[in-house]
Amino acid sequence: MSAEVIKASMPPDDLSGEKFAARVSGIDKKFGVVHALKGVSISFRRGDVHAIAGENGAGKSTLMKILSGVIGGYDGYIEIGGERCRFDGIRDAERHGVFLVPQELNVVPELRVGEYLFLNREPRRWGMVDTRTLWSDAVRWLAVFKLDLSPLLRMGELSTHQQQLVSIARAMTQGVKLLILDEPTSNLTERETELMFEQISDLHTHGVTAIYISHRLHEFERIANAVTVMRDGAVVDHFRLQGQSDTPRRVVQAMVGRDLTEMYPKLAVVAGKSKLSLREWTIPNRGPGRANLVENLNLDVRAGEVLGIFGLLGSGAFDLTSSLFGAHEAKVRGRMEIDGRAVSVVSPRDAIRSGIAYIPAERKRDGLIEAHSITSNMTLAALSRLTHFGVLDRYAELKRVQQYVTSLKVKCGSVEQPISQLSGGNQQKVVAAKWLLTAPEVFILEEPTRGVDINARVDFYALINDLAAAGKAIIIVSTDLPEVLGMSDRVLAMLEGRIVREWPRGGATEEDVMTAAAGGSRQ
Amino acid sequence: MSMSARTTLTAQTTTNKGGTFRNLPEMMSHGELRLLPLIIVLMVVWMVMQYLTGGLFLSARNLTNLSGQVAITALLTSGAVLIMIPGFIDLSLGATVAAAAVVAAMAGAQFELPLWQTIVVTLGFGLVIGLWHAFWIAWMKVPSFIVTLGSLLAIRGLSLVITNAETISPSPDILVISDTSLSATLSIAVLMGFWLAFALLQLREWRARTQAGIQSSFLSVVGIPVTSVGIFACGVMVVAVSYRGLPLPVVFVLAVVALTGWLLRYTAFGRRLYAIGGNRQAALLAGINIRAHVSMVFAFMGLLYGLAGLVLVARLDSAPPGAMQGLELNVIAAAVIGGTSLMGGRGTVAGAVIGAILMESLSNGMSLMNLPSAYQSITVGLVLLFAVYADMRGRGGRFGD
Repeated sequence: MSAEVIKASMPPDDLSGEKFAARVSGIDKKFGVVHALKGVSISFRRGDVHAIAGENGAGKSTLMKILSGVIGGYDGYIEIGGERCRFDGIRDAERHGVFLVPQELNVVPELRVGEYLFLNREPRRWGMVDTRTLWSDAVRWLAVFKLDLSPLLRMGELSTHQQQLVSIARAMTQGVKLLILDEPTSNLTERETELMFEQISDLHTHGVTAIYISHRLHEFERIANAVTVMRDGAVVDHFRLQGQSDTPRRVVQAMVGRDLTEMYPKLAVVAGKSKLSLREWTIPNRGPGRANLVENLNLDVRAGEVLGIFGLLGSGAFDLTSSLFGAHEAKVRGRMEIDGRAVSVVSPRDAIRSGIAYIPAERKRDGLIEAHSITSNMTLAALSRLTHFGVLDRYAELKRVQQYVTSLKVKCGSVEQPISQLSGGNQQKVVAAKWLLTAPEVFILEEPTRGVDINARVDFYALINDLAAAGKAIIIVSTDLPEVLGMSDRVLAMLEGRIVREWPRGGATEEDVMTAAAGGSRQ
Repeated sequence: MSMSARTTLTAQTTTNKGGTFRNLPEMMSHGELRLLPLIIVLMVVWMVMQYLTGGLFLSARNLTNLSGQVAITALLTSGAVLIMIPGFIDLSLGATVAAAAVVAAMAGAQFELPLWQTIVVTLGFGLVIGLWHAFWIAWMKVPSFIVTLGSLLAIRGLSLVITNAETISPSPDILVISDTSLSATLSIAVLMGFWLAFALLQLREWRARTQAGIQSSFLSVVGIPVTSVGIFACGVMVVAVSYRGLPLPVVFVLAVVALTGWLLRYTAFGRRLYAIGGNRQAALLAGINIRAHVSMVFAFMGLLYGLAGLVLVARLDSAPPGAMQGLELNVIAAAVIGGTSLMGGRGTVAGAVIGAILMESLSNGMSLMNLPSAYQSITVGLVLLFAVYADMRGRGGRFGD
């Protein structure tokens, strides 16, 4: 979308500052070579609930981090209530009335609700915490926000949704003007979501403006007054909501509007017999009374088939993949068969023995030993194939490592170099080689090209083609929608632990999949 | 298009390292020669001590005496490295070794067991404590810091209870452990064997690399390490032959160092220990049985309690239940000075043993100079601090994390 169009869809800028609780103007931010935000300008009208949408990596969270003082070092400026600000940390932003309620709340579980409400600004008397004032204030505030909680409860005893409400209340007691809610409903049940919405719609009566970030587009018409859509670090659409009913459609169009280029060199492979099959696969949720993370799922992946699964946060797509590898913490129910044989996978060790490979989404956290060499990282899962009676065969090891470094085009100085020195794409190739060495039949790839540069991506896709041609079954779970559509023989959309729709290759557009995954087609 | 067809081009670019002296700083900070600075520091300390003690320090008599002091620390430091590499810690050493010594003394003196049975009972006692630790740490998931801190207190108490807080004298036949020295020929044979085995392993490593098409420097893989170990072995040989021969405890140390060093470098077991310490989650997802590995290292450490207890009771010719207080901290300090990370994932047995020698050299030399032990504490404390700082700068400065 060109700059003109963006400008045209923006509200006129000459309105007086009074009308706006906050404005960001020309915010520009780079992380190394990544241009995260490209001159973003948004105005937030006072009393609005302003929704912001965009795919992962569109720049939403970077913008919110700048707005709430988490990160600095940007171009452009922020105005709060007509006054230009440049925040020096979170505390500074909070002093100006900007509060962020993050998606993953970091509450202190041992603190009591009342203590948490006044954390860091406890009422004092002679240098000591004035407990009497603290508790009576806490009770008063909880009543104001209609929270039926005792201030003596510990934060850890509350449900996620209660913790969020207390976090919002905490911001309110500190004179919040601009409240940023980052995916507040992603971990909530429907009933809790409804309660949350009631709180959010009440916010304006307290003079608070809210920024609401969510992937659940069908929620926007319910609670938002204005919507801004971001893509690739820029604002691509902005409109006010006045009784429309096609909001999810419009948002999706703006979010994804880009071509499937020649980036995805998917080769057609004739799929063979069923390789992996799941029956009544169920992953229970922590805590009673919550919907299962994955509900009664039946799935078949055939030899040579690439299955793409797309699901937004909380859809259960990533729970599904980690459970297939025996890496999910919950007690999984259901039957799994590989090549027609029933297998039991309760640990990654079982999974590897059954011929399953797993490339995790969080490469640094789950996939790499950063301080160790390329060699140690690459051969870690297959050491027993490279030893005689437990003693490493260094020649065999280095030979195989060298082969994969060459065939996967890993760019490195030496195979004994620490893997942390490689680029993301080369690290990911080493992780892939780690699994190739275990000679698996089923590949589970989570976000296979996250943080991978464009050239390494194409190498990676070529590898997927090779594996499919060799008759392996491949499951790709990614939040990169073009990738899922571009590389899969079959695409599934997941929502709330279930497969909501399925398309053959070429049968779906990004809009279709996004709409289904966001629950938009249900309305 | 298939991957393999398109991708033979970059094969050569991956192997442009190697070189000789140009890479020396890098090899020293990260590669094969990481220990060189530490060895140089040790040499300097020895020279200074030699000067300050008027030639007493490097006499064969004192070095043999020093080897007795180093033996217990070095034995336990090798085991401690095995525990620290997967990210655990053992605080119970002083208490458990003293308890093992008490067990050895009682088995011989009060129950009048023959020597071989005393040895079996003592090693068995150590093993039981090791398995006790393994149970709580690997199965019950209690942090190793807490489990071994508990042992530090409880087992020290246990020793005092079973001895009525009195020092026990062992039966005299156990003194054979400290009084035996190998004959000159046998000493030379053992040391040469040790050196040859090391040289062969390094040579094999170099050949494996070269044959796999990785250009690697002969000097840094074989030349310098084998020469260094050779000089060390010759030095020990000269001292041993010119005094009383190689003392048995030193043979134990050589055996344990060789075993643990070999385990860590050349077996899948060792590689997995590094992985567990480097990133536990990634190790788990690579299918590593963390529980089994952790159990094994603590069980092995248990055997070392027993062995060290035997050496201790023989060396002192008594088993004071309150002996060896603070040993655990000396052992951890030695391992850390030798480059072992408290966070896990990094460390070598060779480095840790050099660390142990360095620390014992400092206290031995200062005793020779008749300085009070308070000064030894001050020195060792400062050396620990600077060694870790230098090590961090050496790595962090280059790779900036």
